[in-house]
Amino acid sequence: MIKEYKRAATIEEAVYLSGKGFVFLAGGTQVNSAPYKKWGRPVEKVLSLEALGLDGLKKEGGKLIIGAMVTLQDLSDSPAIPDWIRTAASFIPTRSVRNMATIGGNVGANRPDSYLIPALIASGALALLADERSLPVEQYIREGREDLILRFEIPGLPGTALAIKESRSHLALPVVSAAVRIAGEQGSVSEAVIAAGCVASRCIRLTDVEKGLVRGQLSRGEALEEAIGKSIDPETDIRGSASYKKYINSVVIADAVRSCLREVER
Amino acid sequence: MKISFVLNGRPVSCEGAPGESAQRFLQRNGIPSVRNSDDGFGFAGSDTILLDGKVVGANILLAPQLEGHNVKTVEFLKNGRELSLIQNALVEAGCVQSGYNSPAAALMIYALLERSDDPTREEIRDALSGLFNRSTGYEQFFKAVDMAAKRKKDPSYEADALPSFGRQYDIVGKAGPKKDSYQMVAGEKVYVEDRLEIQSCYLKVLRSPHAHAVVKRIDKSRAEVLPGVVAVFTHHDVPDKSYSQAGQGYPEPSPYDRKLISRKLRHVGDRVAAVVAETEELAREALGKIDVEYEVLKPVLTWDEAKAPGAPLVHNGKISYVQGAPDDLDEQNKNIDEDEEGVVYCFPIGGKPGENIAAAVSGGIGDVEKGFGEAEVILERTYGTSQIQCTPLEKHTCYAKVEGDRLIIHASTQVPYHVRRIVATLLDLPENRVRVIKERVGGGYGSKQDILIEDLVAFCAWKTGRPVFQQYSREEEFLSCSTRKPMRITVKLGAKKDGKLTAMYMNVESNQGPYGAHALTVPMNGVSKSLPLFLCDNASFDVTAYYSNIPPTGAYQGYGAPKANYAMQMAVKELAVELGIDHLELLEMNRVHEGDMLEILRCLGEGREGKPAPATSCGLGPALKEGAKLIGWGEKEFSDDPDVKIGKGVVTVQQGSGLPGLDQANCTVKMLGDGTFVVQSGGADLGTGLDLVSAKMAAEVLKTPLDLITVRSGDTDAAPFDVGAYASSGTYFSGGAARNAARKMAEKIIREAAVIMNEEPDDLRIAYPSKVVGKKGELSFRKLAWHTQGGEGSGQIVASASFTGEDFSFPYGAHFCQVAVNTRTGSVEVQKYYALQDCGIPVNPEYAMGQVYGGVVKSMGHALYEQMIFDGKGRCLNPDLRSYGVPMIGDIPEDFRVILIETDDPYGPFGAKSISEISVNGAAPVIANAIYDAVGVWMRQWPFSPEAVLKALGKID
Repeated sequence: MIKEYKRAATIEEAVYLSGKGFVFLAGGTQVNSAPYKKWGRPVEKVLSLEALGLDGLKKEGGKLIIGAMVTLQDLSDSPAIPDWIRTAASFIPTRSVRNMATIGGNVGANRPDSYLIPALIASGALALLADERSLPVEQYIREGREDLILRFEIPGLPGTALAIKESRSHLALPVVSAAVRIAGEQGSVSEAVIAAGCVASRCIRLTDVEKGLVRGQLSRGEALEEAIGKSIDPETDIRGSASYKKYINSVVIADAVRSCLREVER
Repeated sequence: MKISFVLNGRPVSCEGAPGESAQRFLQRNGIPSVRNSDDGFGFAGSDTILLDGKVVGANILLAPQLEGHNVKTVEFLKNGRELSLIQNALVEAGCVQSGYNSPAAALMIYALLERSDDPTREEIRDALSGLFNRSTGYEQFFKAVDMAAKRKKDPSYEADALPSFGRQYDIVGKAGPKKDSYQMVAGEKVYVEDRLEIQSCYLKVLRSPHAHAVVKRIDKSRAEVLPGVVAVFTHHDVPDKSYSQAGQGYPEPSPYDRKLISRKLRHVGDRVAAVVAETEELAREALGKIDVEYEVLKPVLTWDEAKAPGAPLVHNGKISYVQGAPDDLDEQNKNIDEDEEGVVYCFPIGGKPGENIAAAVSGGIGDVEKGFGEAEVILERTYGTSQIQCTPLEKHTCYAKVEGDRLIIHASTQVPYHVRRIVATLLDLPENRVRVIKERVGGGYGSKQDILIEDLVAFCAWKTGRPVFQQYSREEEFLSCSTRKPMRITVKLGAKKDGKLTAMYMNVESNQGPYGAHALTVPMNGVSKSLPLFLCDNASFDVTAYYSNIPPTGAYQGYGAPKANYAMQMAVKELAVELGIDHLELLEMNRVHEGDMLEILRCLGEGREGKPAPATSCGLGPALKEGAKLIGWGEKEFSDDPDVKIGKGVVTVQQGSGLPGLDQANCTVKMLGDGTFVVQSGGADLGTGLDLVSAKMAAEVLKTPLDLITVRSGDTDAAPFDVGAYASSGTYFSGGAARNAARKMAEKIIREAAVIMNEEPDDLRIAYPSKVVGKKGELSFRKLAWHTQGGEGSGQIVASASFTGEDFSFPYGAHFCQVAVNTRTGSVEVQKYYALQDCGIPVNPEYAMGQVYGGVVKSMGHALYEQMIFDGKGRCLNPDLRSYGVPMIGDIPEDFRVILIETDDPYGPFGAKSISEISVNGAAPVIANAIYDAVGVWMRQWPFSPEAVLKALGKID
């Protein structure tokens, strides 16, 4: 039960209060929602970041700068945002949630089935923190950090990318939430990033598969599915059995990889 | 803390707690329309507000987050008493039935039209993506948005007329809004939660963490001493009485097998103790201070576990019978536990609690063995269905208080008169001292046919003398409500090579759960609404309902028919494949036709002796013909994606119109001083438009404009008895009672007018608008009322009538669909769905269509997505709407049509038959059949999840 609510006036104050047990409150769709409370993280003190001016979205020298408080609806509406990130943002299936949820809050919540985090990882996104350091989103997630993120920087990386999801119904919890980015020329892959949610306790990169693609070891046959299957270890839960989740992630991610490879070949 | 913001254009400043949700904060501060359907899961949309012009969910927003913002709720849309064009469009398109989410829909559409003048279907889907609407599905919203968008540009725009039926009638069969829809879409106070008064106490229940256990010791002393705790009740404090929560006519065919709070706990979520406290938080805190020691027993979770030798007994109290005790009763009572509450049967229904059997029945016609002997092909298949939740948007809610020597109960119920009887009996009160007021009901679908919370709320109010309020949490809806019973159904069919059926057999095994509500009648109704769709001289069935420790089951729209029809229609399709005969051809060859005698009903009497009945009207022929043409039956479709295969399916469906011989409805019509009328109907309008049905019945008979007729219903003090809204009885029974009362009124009007007009009664007729016309002149109802109610008059004209009968009127239908199955992912997309329904002459066409859309979407959900998932100890692992998987607007078919096939039933009022349940009987079998047509696998178990499809395809183990 939340017993204390404060509105941070400055970034310094926000950082200070986070050290005093306050949890950052962005849009509120995670901190305030019943499932979040059920994950064993009851929140007693929240700190609204609304007054910190962390909104705004701009292009700067080939990079895209996105304020941490930009909502997922704004992301999905903005033509400045790469298609796969817009798609990932719009995977959150209800507009009312997209209107509230923020990019910073989504990364901060570090849900294992986040739609956005795989897309940001695939994009090579950096999280710019309150202490002026910048960390790859992948590292932020991997290390389970809770630093205050001020904004995200998305470099103009080469290649083609896709965000994918699979769920039983339109609003059901996903069994696949992943993003793929592949760069290369004339059929050879110079860079591959595959980030997947729903297959571990946090979103992860399938590095072995990425290496196999760059080395040209994975043909487009069933070897790709097998490699993906070997690199994930989903658990049985209410969304489905482990074997189903392994299968569905393997085929859907493999299809996305193949689709990107076709683009690279063009 | 003080929270300042702009509310509907007005700066306001209100006190709020830091952790209080904006939904609760707004409702507490006078905005009733912002409601709570999902306790902060951000799913259902009932909590929708506009925050700085954007749609958000107030339940996942903290009250302090409103600070400095511009908040709009649906209240801002109205201009004085005038609804906005968006609200009017929703009403006109028939979108507002149970109405709990109608304010949310209006706000979502408002925001959509602010950003798009001419929204596409995709934009509409996105705008309404967060709106859960169980009652009408979603299809009609597209029309409403189109209407609103066009009227925004041109206020004089007239939408295409809604379909009209019953050419011979002036009012029946013509579209026109029901009156409560205006209040609902405006967000007015019409639900039980809106009746809460300042001094009300809150009831919270301590629930069993175990599926099967006994309370060895319970200590409530630490809870009782908390300041503000009014009372704590345990099994020691409640009446020592067995009863049933089933809202059925007395004597019920459901066993009396539960206590208000029992020492023995029979499911996770069963009542352990009840706390009445002055605040909700305090009640919750007190629950944590009740110390309980449990003796955990082995749970029984499946049919097979229930019938295994030596299985733990769910009920082991003394068995007794009000009448018709079996000869072996003493034997059955040999090893009972005297400390356990007894099981009372009003009459025999085949129950044997000592074998975990709540009810059992067998029957048949002809000679089934001979029929199978004559068959050239015999097919036997078994099908399974899972436990399904009704998920009404308005959770179960009740408010009770004592006034003088009377108990007043505000209930969200389908059965106000059964609530009165059951509560009065439980509390040893005569019925005159209990008044039940059915408020508008935000969705029931069967789960509000049972007295699930009114019993305890009434008890607590009566015991404490304080007003007591209880509203289930969404989790309680899943754990402690009533659900669709899981069933295992074996169908055996025998046929000649040409397809003619020679024998049919069904074996229905039902997982009844901990208590016996509807144990006999639900599975039996499954048989009685599926076997008679086919004509066969030799047919038989066995039905067994097993007690178990799963969450309680009860009634759910369709009442067994969706499951039995799934099994029966699947088996017929499988037979067609076996015989190499086109499925539609096989259906045509064996189907029921108008005038056919349904002999099988001889042994399907729902606890009394049945009798054969004719299909007096049957629109199956035209439904099948038109549907086949629409879907392009016999034409194979192909996808551009090689992984995607397309298939088509067809099924037939049937239901009843109430329970002739068991049900009764009553109605009183009163003429007021100006010749207008008040219709006091016992019918329980669940948002389906039953009050409008009653009004139309009276208007049609009395040739009076609908505006001059007001219907009062749902208040047991203000209207005569009616069994309530279940078994598809509303239009037929309650509507029939209104018609009969109006006819009596018409007779009285003629008699009185004859005296005043000095004419022979036979020379007079009632004519529009509201007058009597004779050979010499005419007399308005206004003048007639003045005469009759004057000092020398004969008295106010009041006419009452009932509707009972032995005549059956069966609605019929045919459902067609086209699915695309992705063989790589297992996903099933329903591309086209056509529901062709014969409900006689539809009295309220737009609401009839809405109920069909809603029923189809519900059953699509059951077939494809919805599933209560349990661990090995009987704990439901997904007790929330999202994890459970209800369908939303993003799930409905791109091409979705409801077509009403008009027939004129000789027994239904103005030719009408029921519509409310039948449409849930088609989706599971028709989708499964289409899946077979697409990829050649049989889906013999709900739900057809991608994982299940992949398993069937052999893609995963």
